[in-house]
Amino acid sequence: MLFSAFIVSSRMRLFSLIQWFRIQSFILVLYTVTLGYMLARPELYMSAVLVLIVKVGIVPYFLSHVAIRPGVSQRLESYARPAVLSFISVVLIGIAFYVAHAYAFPLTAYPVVVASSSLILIGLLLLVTRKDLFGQGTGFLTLENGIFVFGLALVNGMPLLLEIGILFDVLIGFVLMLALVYRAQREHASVGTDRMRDLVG
Amino acid sequence: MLVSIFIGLCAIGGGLPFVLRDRRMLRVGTYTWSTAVFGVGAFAGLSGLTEPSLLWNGFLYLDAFGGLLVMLISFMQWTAVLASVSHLEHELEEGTITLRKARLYMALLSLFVLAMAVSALANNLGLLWIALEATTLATTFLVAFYAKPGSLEAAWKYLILCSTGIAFGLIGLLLAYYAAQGSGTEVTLNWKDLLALGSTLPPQLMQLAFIFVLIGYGTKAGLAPMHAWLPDAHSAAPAPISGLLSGILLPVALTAVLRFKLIVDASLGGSDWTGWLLIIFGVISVLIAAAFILVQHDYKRLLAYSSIEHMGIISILFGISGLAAVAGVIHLVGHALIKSGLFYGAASIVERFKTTKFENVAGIARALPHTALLFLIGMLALLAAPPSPLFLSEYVLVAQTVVMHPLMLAFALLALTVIAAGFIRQLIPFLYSRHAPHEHALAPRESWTVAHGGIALHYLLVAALGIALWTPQGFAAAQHIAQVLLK
Repeated sequence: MLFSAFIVSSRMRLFSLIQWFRIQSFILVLYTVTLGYMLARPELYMSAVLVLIVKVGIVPYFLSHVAIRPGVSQRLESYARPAVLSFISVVLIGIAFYVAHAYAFPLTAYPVVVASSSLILIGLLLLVTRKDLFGQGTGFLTLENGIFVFGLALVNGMPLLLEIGILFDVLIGFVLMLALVYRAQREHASVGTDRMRDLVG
Repeated sequence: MLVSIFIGLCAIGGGLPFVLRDRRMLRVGTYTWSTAVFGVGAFAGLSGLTEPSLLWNGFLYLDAFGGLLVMLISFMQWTAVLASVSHLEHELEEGTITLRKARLYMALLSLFVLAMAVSALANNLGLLWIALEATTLATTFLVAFYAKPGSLEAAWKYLILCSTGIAFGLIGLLLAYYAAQGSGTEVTLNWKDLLALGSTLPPQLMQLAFIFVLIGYGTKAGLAPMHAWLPDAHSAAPAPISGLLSGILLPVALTAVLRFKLIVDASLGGSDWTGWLLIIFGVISVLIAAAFILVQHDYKRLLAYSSIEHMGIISILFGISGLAAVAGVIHLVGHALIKSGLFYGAASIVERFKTTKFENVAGIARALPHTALLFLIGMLALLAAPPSPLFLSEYVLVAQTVVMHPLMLAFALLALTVIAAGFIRQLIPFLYSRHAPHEHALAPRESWTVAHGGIALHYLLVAALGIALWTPQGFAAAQHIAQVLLK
């Protein structure tokens, strides 16, 4: 999972970004299932299925669907070059190790806490450095994945009802993002944020 | 029971506009729905003021503060609907929007009200999170409602910043849940239960959790430096929606922080640490707002920055705690009523002048005498001229901080003075200048409409509140409400 987050941070081509996001979410599902089996908590299977549907199925599918529309450049833009981004990700992963260490989380959860905080930090990195709506959207979803893993590692997942609510919110948020991306394409014929920096002060 | 009816009514509102055939039906239907929500909400809120109650298996909890918020929400959605209907009718007539969009507007408005009501009442912190995120989702399209340049940017910024911010809040929540699990007993995420566990929770972990929650929900509450989305969203959204966003959504989000603060305080055994954080964020908000108000070119953004200022003041007041928390409650209510009144007034100005820039609007008093008068009253009340309740709360702010935090007070007072000067410098020419940019904008003198009635009702309430607070009973009621957030 760490590895996939690391890769996502430096992907500059749209399809490969989406594919890696899909792989990352799939690892998330596997982890949830394993945890559910080990702790004998069947409700975790339920959330695994939901994550599978939403984050491995719907989200990447629609992202790639929008991506093949005319006007979307396959090459994504960022403020930093891929090499720099990879380097920053390594630093962020280091920070994640430090944080997990400093707060002395339980030993079993230690690697997972590291992975999840890295996901969160790398999601933030994407949000900050990417210049296009897809990159920022994927950044947000990566961050969300990170928080989900964090929840699993720390408290073995939220109560199912809340988990459903949170996923539902994420899904609606994603739909809204897509709708805004559609509109951006129609109005500016691009999904870059260069046309979207008039509002300051 | 009343609360369930209230929430059910709000939910119905989400589908109602789509079954109403034409414009007249839509107008009548929305008025009826909104009045019903107002009536039920007022009574539901009142029942909370007298006696707290757990509802829906402990998912909801109605206490005095929650009751106050429910009453505010139901009153303000009513006046917002009054303002919205006349605003939308005007735009339908001009052809700026279609009936389909008007329906969508009303449906999203009621879902927004539903989400706010649930966040105000939620006892389960997870439900609170979901409802707060739902408020963002319901309003994103309202922010992008007009196909104006900039509205898309504002909506994207709003969605991404608020969702990311609130995602941090979720981390804080998970940490708190983890801390509670460590205490051994079977735990829920219910606020009441966590509060009872309070002193057994590990302080270090709870401090970390509070920082995440403060940053997360603080983003939604418009505290600087996480406020970047706020001026954009408020200026891009239709004015009645801006009124609701600023008047009631920000306080609801801040309440989430304050409720979480109580748990952390119980764990730390005192409110000094959390109080300081709130004061610092509050002072930064007031200072940043002052800087931007002075140079603002856009009247809706001016009002938005003023909301950041007032959220700052409220968080300072709750940071000091004690008597200041009572002033915080007063300030919250006063600001909600005044600011939304100003935004509803801004709706008529946008209708006439078609712009939100100061440079293209002047001499409103000649073109729109009623709106101008109400705007002036609102501005004076917002600047805390007595009998505005804000006078009382800012008076308490000064009296309480002058001994305890003199340096912070110095910053805050400097900022408040700058803000008052900025407001007067910007708004007096805006209202009374004789050089109107378009003479045709002055053409038909406006007549008194329902929307004006709504605004006037807001100010009457504000004045009544201001006077009532000078009586012992009035102040005791405010104390009773603030007690919930004091413990």
